[in-house]
Amino acid sequence: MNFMLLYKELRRNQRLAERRHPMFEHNRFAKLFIYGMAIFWAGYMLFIGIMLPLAFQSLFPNMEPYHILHQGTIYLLLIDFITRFSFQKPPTQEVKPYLLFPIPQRKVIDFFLLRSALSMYNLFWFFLLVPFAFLSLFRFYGFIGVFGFLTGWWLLMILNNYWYLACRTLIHEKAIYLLIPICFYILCGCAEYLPDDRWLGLFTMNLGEGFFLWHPWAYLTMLTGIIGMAWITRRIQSHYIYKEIGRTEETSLRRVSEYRFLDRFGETGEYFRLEIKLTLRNKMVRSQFVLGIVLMSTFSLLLSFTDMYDNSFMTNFICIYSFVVLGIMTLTRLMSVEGNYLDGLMSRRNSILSLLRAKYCFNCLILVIPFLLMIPTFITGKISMLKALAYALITAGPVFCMLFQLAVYNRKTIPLNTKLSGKNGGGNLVQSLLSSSAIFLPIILDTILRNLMGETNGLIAQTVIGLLFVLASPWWIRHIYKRFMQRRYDNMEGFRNSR
Amino acid sequence: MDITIKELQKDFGKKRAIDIKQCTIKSGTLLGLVGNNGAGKTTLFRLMTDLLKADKGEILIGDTNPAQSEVWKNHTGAFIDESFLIDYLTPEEFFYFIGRIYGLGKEVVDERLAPFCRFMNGEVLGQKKLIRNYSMGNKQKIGIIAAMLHHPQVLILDEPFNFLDPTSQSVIRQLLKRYNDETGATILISSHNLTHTTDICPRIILLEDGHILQDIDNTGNQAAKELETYFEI
Repeated sequence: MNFMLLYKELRRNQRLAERRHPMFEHNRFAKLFIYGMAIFWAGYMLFIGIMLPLAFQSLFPNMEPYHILHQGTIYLLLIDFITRFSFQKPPTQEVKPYLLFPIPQRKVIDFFLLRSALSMYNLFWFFLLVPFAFLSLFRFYGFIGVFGFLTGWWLLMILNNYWYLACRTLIHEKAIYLLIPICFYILCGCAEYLPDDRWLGLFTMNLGEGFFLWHPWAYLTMLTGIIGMAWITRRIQSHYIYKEIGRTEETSLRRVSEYRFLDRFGETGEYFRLEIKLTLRNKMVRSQFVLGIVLMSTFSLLLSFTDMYDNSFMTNFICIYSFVVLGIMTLTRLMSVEGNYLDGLMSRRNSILSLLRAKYCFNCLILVIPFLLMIPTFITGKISMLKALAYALITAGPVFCMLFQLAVYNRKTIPLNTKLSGKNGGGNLVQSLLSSSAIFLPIILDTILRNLMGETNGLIAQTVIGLLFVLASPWWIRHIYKRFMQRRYDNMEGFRNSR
Repeated sequence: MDITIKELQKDFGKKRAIDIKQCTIKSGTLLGLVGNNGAGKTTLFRLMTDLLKADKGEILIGDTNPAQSEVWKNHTGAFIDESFLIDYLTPEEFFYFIGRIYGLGKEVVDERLAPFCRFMNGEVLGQKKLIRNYSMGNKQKIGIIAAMLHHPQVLILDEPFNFLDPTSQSVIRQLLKRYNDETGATILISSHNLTHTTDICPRIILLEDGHILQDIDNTGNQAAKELETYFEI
């Protein structure tokens, strides 16, 4: 089978998978919100794209706006890289069903890589870049120049896409690999700021000029970069996928922990114990948890020991993010891992209620970690203890209450132990919607309350709101449980069909 | 505990998977459910255990409709497939977990596991292995034992002889028979193995396309011939 035919077949299979997905109806509903949000952001970016040339002209009268933009290419790519973590599905490749077919294995991986390069997501920045190009470049270089500028940026986005996929695959495997992008961006910072003549900015400015002047070297550089990065990504993905497929698990446990202290908490304690074992013994769950803890700790420590986020908005944002990040990573898939053994749970009385209670307690307890890591900021006065307490309670209260709603709506089983080669790897739009809301709603609430009531009163109000939600948790968890039970047949069908 | 089925219907799209007008399974019955693939055996069990919603009619376990109350869960044990197993636990952890959910202490669980010693054949306990790393046969054993651990008055087992070696098939046959004799529990098993089913079940229901085709009294072991004729063996 030639590659184009294979591409068409695999694309058809992927579309069918999306259409026959247990969450398809919910996804359609969420899609409306996502489209609404996308339109809002597109409008916002259009606005920036129009204003930016004017702003650059007044700030840097001796330089052309497009040169300024190209000097800051790395910043735009960094923002793009970070936002991909929220909006681009994790790289999973369902290669297993095709392994025994007479198709070269690498071709299947190539398909997934090609598809991600051609994704419309890589064009999203065009909402900013198109007006920018027409306002700053068109009068000098005409359509050809604008076209070259946009083509160059598209290639940059594809390169960034492969860079993201490579990093995400590695981070997915082990959280320690988070150091790779961190080190890379630190090196970029060094190349930009340590020498007197800003090497990196100069290079990207020349590269950008090469794009709109159609210099072959610029495009050759980009194509080489893309092919190189795609090759690296393919090697990484291929390595981990086949390692995962051929994995033989260590079959004998060295030590079986009983966590006897949980005995005193009755049925909730029993499910808490189950939650601990779920987290520690399953590759997929464990890696999400570890990554969440690493992100949570990193941001808390950055806040405590560096001056990176010294303006008020960023400090508050990072503080909230430190609290909500783990919840977002683990709770958005609430019940999806349990989908593997849900029939067993459902044949036992109240087990889902106890499970939800245990999950809530587990996630609330985890919030102690960022709180403790932020103690130095209480001492230095960067963040008040009241603020950390307010954000922790807002997370344990309204944010968890919102994320726990997914227990009712999630109806797709995710594999416990496969990450790259497994089915149902990607999230769905409802999850994306709620996880975005979990970050932005506390920030909006915080901004509104502090502006309306002042700093201290605003934080006290948030503490009270959070506390009320925490105190009401037995009630709202039971409510979620009741709604889950009302939808149990639909959900169980979804879980069963996606196992 | 009696099981009563009234006007039960379940459709999957245009296909009617279950259509049973009336059926009563008296307390203490050991009932075998046989039928070809797609006959509706597993669907019926899923309806009984509230894992599927009936489109019409109802099932009563005792006086309880499983779709309306969870009380039936206290006295019913079931094993339908692997999704009844929490596979990242060791068998011991799983049994103790089930035990604690039903209010049974560790000692009681150990005591209740003792009669299954021969069934487990030294391959299940003490291996320090997660359930997911066991063979299909041993997973089947773990599921069956877990379903029986709290001494349910109603026991539902879907294809209990699947994946088991001949010795284990024989052992589970004897265990089910003895459990039924000693506790008077209602036991429902589905199987494609006609020999095992006719050997232990005094009543056999032949299901086809969701209908009860025959309800056979097998007290004198007379069902074997009838079934062999039907299945053209």
